[in-house]
Parts: sequence; structure tokens; C-alpha cells
Amino acid sequence: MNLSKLKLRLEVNEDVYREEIVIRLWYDYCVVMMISYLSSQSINSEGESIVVQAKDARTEYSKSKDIDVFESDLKDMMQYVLRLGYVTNIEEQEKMFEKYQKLFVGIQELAKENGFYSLFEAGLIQLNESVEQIFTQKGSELVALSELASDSAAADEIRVQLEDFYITEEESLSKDDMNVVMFIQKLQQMKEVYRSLRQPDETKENEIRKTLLEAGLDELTLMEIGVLWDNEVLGGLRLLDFPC
Amino acid sequence: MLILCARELMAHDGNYSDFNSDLKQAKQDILDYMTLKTQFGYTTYDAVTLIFVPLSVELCENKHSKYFSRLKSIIK
Repeated sequence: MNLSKLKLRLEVNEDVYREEIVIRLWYDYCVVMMISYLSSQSINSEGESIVVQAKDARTEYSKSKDIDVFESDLKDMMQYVLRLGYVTNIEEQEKMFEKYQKLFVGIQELAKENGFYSLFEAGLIQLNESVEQIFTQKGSELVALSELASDSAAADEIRVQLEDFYITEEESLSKDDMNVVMFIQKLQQMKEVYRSLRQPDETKENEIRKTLLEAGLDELTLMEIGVLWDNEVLGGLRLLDFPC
Repeated sequence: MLILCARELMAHDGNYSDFNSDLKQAKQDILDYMTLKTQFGYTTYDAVTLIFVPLSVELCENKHSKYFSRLKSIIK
């Protein structure tokens, strides 16, 4: 039957559509993840490089214990930024970015107050740019993940609706012989009642229409109605008599 | 005749998208024929058959329209 073919086509199209979405989004997600990973590595090495610079500076500024504080704060900030990898939603990512900015400004001010900012200025600026970049990339990653989840949910929703539709379709094409037999009996009874009606009569015709509906004609499936159209049931001219 | 028309329309790929209009045309052809055969009274077809056929075809059309509207809303 044509409906089966249509059903098959829909299923195939739906699978292809779903597959294309998933492949596209996974591709985007993987690219973002790869960039994020490389940026994380970059930040890590840049951070470590500044820590090494701080150790060197400690020799020069041996009297200043604030160098130790600077190094410690910098390490803490780097650890904090690297936790970004575990973030799974945009809100958390934004909060982390705000806190990072405060930590970074604090470190800058500490270096400026103690007179060794010029030593780290270039490294800190470069580090800040890399960190801001990774926050941006993390945002893209979270958006891609969100779209993936959303499209997957949409495809699942279509599948559920189609399954529901096919169940209804199956029901409409089903046939309960008992329903058919009972309706045939009802038709025969009505034919008997109105056998004497030979000329058009609007009142009687409305009465027949009402009786048919009350007998449950509307509740019959398409297949059941199809059986009732048979000449054996309806009577009248046979197929061969119809001028096709 | 109606059975064959309905099934042929359902089975015919090219006409499926126009199922309702095709079935309507088939119904009209048959109704015209039945009207012609009963113009001088309920002889070839009795009154119950004459009412039952268009009413049942109309119900089938409505059922099909509902299914296709639903299907279209799903795959839009």
C-alpha cells in the first residue's frame, strides 16, 4: 500500500535528517573541543612561563616576599581557569569569567604596587588574551552542545509523533468483522423499513441520514466502510454496469 | 465501484497527494450516475443506499483529511 511506502520514506528521511544534524553538530563540537584543548595547553604553558619568570624575579627582588604571594596567586588563578573544562552551562561559564577578571586585576595590582609589574607585563597581557579566547571558545562549545541536545530532542519528538500517527493509521485501516456484520444488519433493517419509499422525500431522507449516523456510521474505520460499499451489501447496479 | 476507486487512488503513487480531490471527483461521478438512475424514483437504487453512499464517502474524505493534516503538521 502507498501509506506503507510513505511511512518508509518518512522514516528514511527522518533518519537521514537526524544523522546529518548529529554529524554536523558533532563536527562543530569536535572542532571547538580541539581548539579549546590546544588553547588550554597554551594557557598552561604561558602560566608556567610566568611562574618561572617569577622565580627568576625572586632572586632579583629577594627582599620582597610579595613575589611569593604573586607566584601563589598566579598559580591559583591558573588552576581556577583550568577548571573551565568541567563547566557544562553558559551561566557558570560567565560567573567564572567574572571571577577570573577580578583575580587577574588583583594580580596586576599586586605587581604594580610592588614595582615588578614591568617584568611581567608582556607575559600577563598575553596570558589574559589567551584566557579570554578560551572563555570565548568554551562559550561556543557550550552553545554547540546545547544545539546538539535541542536538535536531538526535536528528532525524538518527531519520532514519537510519527509512531503515534502510525498507530492511528493502523487503527483506521483495521477491520472488525463484528462491526461490519452489525452495520449490515442495520442497513438491511433500514432498507426494509423504507422499502415502500419510491419517490424523493426530503423529510424521509433526513431521517435516514440521522438514523445512519446514530447507528455509528462515523465510528466505522475506512476498511469497514469499504466493505459496506460492496454490491452484495448495497444492492443496485453492479460494477460492470457503471460507465467508467 | 467505490471500493475500487478508493483503493486505486490509495495505491496510485502519483495521485496520492491529490487523494481528496480525486476521491471527491470519484464520488461526484458516482453520485451523478446514481442521481441519473433515480431521477424517476428509487428504482435502481433504494433510498437508504442513495443516502448511505454519499454520506459514507464524505465521512471517509473527512477521516483522510484529518490524517493528512496531522501528517503534514508532523513533517512540516
